[in-house]
Amino acid sequence: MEEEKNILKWLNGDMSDRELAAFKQTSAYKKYAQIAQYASDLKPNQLNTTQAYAAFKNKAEAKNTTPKVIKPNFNWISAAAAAVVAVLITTYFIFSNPATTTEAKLAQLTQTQLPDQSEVLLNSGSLLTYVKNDWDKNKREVKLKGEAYFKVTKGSNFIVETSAGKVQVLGTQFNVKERKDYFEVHCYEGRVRVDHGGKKLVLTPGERYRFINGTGKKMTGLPATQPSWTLDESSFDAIPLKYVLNELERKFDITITTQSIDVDQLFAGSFGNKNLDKALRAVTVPLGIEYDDTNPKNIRLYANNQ
Amino acid sequence: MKSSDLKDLCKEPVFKGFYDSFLQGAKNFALYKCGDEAQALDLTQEAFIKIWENCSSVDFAKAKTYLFTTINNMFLNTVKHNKVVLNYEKNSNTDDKSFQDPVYILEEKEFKLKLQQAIANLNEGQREVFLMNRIDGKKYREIAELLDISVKAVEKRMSLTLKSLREEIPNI
Repeated sequence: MEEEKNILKWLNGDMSDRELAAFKQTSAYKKYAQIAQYASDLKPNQLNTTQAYAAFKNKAEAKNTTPKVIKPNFNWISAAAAAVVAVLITTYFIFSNPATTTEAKLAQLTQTQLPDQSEVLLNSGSLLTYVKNDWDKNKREVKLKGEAYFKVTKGSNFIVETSAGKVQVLGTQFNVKERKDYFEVHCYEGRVRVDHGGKKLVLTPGERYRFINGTGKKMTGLPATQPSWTLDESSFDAIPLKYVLNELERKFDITITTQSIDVDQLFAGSFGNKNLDKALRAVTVPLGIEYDDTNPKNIRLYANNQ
Repeated sequence: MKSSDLKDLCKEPVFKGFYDSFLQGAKNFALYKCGDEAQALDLTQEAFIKIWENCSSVDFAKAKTYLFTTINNMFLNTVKHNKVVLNYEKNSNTDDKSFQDPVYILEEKEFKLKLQQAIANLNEGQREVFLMNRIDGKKYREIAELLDISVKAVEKRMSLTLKSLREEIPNI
């Protein structure tokens, strides 16, 4: 045991000169000196970076990849392009230890299970991260960018951190939405504590907290037993159009540009996530808007009288 | 370029700088896992492509971690070959003049060959830890971080590796 500890210490370069001199007299050293030395002398192939980079570019081009930079479409969005870009500015990299990441890309829903068997369903354009090694019965913490529906197993202290606020729960089902300037938490079961901008409040089943356009309030009257998007339907009850259009973009992996349209007007309704045409009509018809989908990846919305 | 551009991986000069800095290290990392130079380079190029594709969302300061984690994950999904053969050649820098005896030199050659074979026979977890420590000179803590395991786990793998190697290679 002692011998093994010394060998490991030696290989890690952790011995003082004196310790090393003493160690070199031992039989343990004699057993492993050659192995250790010759292993160190093994040399991997040295690459020529110019050649390798040229090969890299060929490979990348063959895959037809270009860096995904999604340009902001509404002129009120500047840094808010972050809310639209699929893999959002990284909560992933806030952890100093390598973290476990789950991502739902655009037009995708992703489900994952956490180390405590809690389940999370991520809505399109969302990212969930946690550090497995830090996870135990008394500390369960994840970071969320975007929107997710959680089913948390009984235990203590389950925390969801978003850049907007923190949600803390005790064995419940709840939904957390964090998009730019729009933070909403739904409680479906159990109790949820929300910390947002210095405000602390508790939600019981059927209640929700909505922060939008600079004001936050608690509301009742949750329409269902689970968020509609988990069943492929995005619904909004009096939400500014801009957020509805953002969700359309994420769901169908498209970009939307608008012309002379009031994107702050409220929309109440829903759109299915399976058919783009139907979805566009569901949003535009009630508001008297037309759309041009000659380019199916970039839809143009304009007012009826133009 | 604006100073903010210096961290923007979507700008090719920045990406190329990142690529040049970490290509060798990343390739070695992959090599220790899979034991094959060609496969290692392949994995590495794929990982760089992933970063390039997601350049707008990769934080420059953490890109290295992302690179290594991607290689880690990609390797887990690759087909494991039955026989891992290490192809790298040793460039000797141990030049001990007191052992110029040709018999010794031959024995040394055999020893090194046996060592290469024995390393190829290790399981991936043991091999990568051992080589990261021996060849890259990495400490157990850094290895633990790169592989997302505990320091204790690193030490355990080192111990098992030494036992395995010792069994397969009798001393000269």
